[in-house]
Amino acid sequence: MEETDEAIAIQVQRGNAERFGALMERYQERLSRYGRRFLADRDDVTGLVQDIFVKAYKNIQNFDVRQRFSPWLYRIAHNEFVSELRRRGSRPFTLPDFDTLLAHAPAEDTELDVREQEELRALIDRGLARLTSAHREVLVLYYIEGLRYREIADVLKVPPGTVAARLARAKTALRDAATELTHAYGT
Amino acid sequence: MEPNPTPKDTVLERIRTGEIAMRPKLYFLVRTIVVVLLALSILCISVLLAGFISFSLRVGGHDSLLSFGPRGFSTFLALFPWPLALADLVLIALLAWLVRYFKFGYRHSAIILLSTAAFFALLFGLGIDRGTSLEDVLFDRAQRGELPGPLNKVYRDEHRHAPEELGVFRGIIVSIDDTSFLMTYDDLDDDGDEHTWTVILPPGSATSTLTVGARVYVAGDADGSLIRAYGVRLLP
Repeated sequence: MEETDEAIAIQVQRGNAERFGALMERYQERLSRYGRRFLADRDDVTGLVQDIFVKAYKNIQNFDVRQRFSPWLYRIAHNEFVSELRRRGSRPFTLPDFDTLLAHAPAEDTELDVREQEELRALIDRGLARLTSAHREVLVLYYIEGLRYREIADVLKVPPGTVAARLARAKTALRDAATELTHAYGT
Repeated sequence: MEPNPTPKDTVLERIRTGEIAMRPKLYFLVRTIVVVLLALSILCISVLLAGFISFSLRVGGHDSLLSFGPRGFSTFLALFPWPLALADLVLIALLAWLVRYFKFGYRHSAIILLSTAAFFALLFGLGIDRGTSLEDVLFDRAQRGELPGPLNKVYRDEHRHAPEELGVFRGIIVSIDDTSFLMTYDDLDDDGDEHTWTVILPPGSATSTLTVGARVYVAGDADGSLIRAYGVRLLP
């Protein structure tokens, strides 16, 4: 059976720094994919991914091993990509973020319809650049990276109900963007 | 040509050379303790401020206005210490922002956090003022000038000013007849502005509950030394 991320993280916390390589091996490609889609950028995000790993290593003693490792790492990645968007002069999120102000109904993950999931993945590839970064991110974390509502809530530090509401709006925006593209290019 | 090193290779190399080091667990523990202490301090200040607001309304007698009908209510709103309430709200917002550091903080909407924090600050503030003698003790110490710095003035001023321009008066009953009573101005100082008013009670009010020497809070319209009251209440 494959060793869990959390088991490896414990070894790193106990001083076996080389084991951090195994975690990087597992997440290198996933973080690059997340970064490229979140930033809506085909450019190389290697430097950013490297910075994420450096921060993760420095702060690994703050990782609670009773929790899952991936949301913790994605949280660091989220902060790094948001900083990158700020550096580029784009405002990643509007202030105030009314989604986090309001109380949404409690959110539970639902079984994903396979066809809908495939359709949305295809749409994400086509229409992602036309969405806001907040919408892009929640779509990528849910449909591409496979995180659950509560895990995304931990990444974004927002209530799970907000994740569900933002995801629903992002899907609508994505479908609208895809329809516009179809009309514009006939594809 | 050698391939570019991956992030994994680069980071591992930097770890091996000691360029990157883990922060110790103690660092995160201390950081968490600092956040908790800061949050508790803000909560305490917020509760004390809510208690002081309640005290200022009580000691000035302005909370009586709530039982004086719609006109009393609108005067109450005009006299309410809004800047203090706003400052308390800012503290509560800061507290709600600070607790987002913790999972229970960000997993609830900001509105729920804000309203819960405001509710408890108000509840404990009222509890401190109405259920304990803390504010009264501080007020007595302020009268003797024993509080630190500007607190003496802050507490004393809460009693001194009865805003007569808003139709609110405070005094001590000197004499009573069937439909009116005579009261002296009471601002707890000796600056020579003391004088007397004749207060005509609201229609249907009895003077039987009034006693000579009692402190009284009056809301009404002044015409020279005559006040036509729409509300009168004895002060403790």
